[in-house]
Amino acid sequence: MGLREVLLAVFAFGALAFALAVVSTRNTVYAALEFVAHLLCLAALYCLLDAPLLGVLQVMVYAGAIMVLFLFAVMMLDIQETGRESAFQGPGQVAGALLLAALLFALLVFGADRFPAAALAPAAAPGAPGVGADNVVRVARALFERGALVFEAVGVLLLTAVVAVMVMAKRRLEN
Amino acid sequence: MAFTVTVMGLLIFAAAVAANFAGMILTSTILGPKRRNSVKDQPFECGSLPVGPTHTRFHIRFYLTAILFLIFDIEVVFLYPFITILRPELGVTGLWIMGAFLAVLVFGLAYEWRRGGMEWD
Amino acid sequence: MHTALDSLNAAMSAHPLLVQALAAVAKTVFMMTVVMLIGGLILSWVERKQSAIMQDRIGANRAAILGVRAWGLFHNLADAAKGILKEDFIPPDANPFLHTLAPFLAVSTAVVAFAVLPFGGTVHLWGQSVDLTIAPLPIGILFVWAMMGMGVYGVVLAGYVSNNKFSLLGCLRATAQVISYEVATGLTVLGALLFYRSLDFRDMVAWQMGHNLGQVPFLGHLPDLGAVLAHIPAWGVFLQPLGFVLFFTATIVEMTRIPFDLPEGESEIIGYNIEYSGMKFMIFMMSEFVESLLFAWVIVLVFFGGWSLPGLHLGDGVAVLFGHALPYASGVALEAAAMALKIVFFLWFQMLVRWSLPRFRYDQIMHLGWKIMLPLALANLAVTGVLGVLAR
Repeated sequence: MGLREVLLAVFAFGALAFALAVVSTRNTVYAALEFVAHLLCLAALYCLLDAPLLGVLQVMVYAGAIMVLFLFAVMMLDIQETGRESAFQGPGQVAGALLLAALLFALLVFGADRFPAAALAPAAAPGAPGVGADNVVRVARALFERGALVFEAVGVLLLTAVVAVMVMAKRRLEN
Repeated sequence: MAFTVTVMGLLIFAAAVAANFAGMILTSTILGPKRRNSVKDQPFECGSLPVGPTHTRFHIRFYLTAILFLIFDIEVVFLYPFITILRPELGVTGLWIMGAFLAVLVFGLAYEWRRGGMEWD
Repeated sequence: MHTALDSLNAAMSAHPLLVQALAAVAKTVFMMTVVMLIGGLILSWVERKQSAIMQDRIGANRAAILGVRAWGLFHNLADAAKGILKEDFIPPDANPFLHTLAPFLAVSTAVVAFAVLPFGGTVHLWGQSVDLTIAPLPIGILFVWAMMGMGVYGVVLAGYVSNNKFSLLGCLRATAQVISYEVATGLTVLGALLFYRSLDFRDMVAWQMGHNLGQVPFLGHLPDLGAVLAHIPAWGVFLQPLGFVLFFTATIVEMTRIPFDLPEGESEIIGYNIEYSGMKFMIFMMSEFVESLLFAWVIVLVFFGGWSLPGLHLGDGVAVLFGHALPYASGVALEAAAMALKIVFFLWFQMLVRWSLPRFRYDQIMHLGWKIMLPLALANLAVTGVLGVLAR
């Protein structure tokens, strides 16, 4: 077992542990911070799997933008004071959570090798020098040559989000 | 191996940074005096009397800014891989692809501007 | 003695991972020393002395060790000792763990960003090539932005856990300001990156060293100027003057220094860190200086050619300065000195701006960010992209 495998195991374990902590912590601010830690572990996993672009975007967009928005919401509502109940209530919720987890696991096990990973896979052996630099260009090609139409659709989706935000906030702004 | 070495270097550095600043804070917690009294424990609220709970509602503009930041951050993120292949590979096609994407988002920016989403007076 | 050295060489050649691990430790020690010395001690002294000179005062000069005053340099050592020995006051309603975590996050995210900043090229040790970068990630510049984004958590937490309305308000203002300008910072460098076609700082420096303005698309095609331009290095600042000005402005907002220091506003408005004292407060202050160094470094790498010195060429074991051969080692030293001087210049320039301009109002900052910087950055990028593609 090389250094790479050891690091992969450490961060996979960390990601799982922080994910468990997110769903079981009662304090919302702690849960948000644990989620950020979980995202950082995932980013490290991506880096170790020769996808540094994905790893850094995970931190920039999820941890740096989406979770900040979450914390804003938590700060305003002060959920910490109201949400004192246990994260899991009754056997029904636990069973439902377990069922969902089992479904997701099955999806990963049976669906993983159907994913068209060949297009993004590095040309050289994993972990070889230069593989990381190749990663950005390969993602760019996949995104702007084969996925150009989807990319434009994302633009329209973002526009919809801008308009929706303005409509929702408009009443408050006018008061 | 080179890339694993990179991640290892990053982890060693991050651990050193964490140990350094945790150590600085911990040393001051241990060495500093601890003298509490009831007046010191009151929130000082910059000289005015504390009124109501600390965590009150604040203006919607802050959310609006955070959400707009999120949207435009995603736009910027798309541009970074794009610029690495624009000139050597995509050429004029690339200009059209990104032009259409940016035009849609600039329209969103103009809409938000006109509806007063960026006013802070 | 020779046998010990030989066995060391043998051991190092046999264990490539050991070489890399030792190199990683050495690079970590070097970078931590640079950041802690400049960000922690020297910059706060420069700030005091430079403001004193600009305002015709003497500035800090009393602290002395055995009668030696050293132009007030010891004041910062005294400050550090004071910070350690002061009471670390945590408000009774604040969560002690989160209250401590906030300054820790604010400063360590800024320092970890230095991991991707190169301080030189590549050296060869025991058959292993060692990069003079702690983590030469191919997405280096995005890593810096990601760490800046993580730094926001320090501010948000500080404002939230202090249980004080004023720190909460201060933290909201600080967060909205910083995240607004993250978009502008990210957009304004893109024009320069269009030329370098890489997100790796080492590639950016290599491109700027390997090109002159005569070889640049569009500029090189201008009929009469081409020959003159061939003598000017293709530094980012010449390719993207508007991009540089916008980026420099956006970084000053990002590090929340005057004229954009509304998050602290030490003299009259109240910031997110009012419930902090002693070492934790000093660490918030220090994270600002660390960010000054970080952005000065990034500016030099992206816009001022990194360690490149016009007229100096380093080849395979030879250095040539304006046609004169130099020992290779002195060529390397000249490059290191050029890089250090450029960074020092931008640290000085940031201070000059900080002590020259009055503070903006909050609505003016947001107006500048969303209504002026963002459209200008987009227009700059569009013009650069179209000209670059059509004239390639």
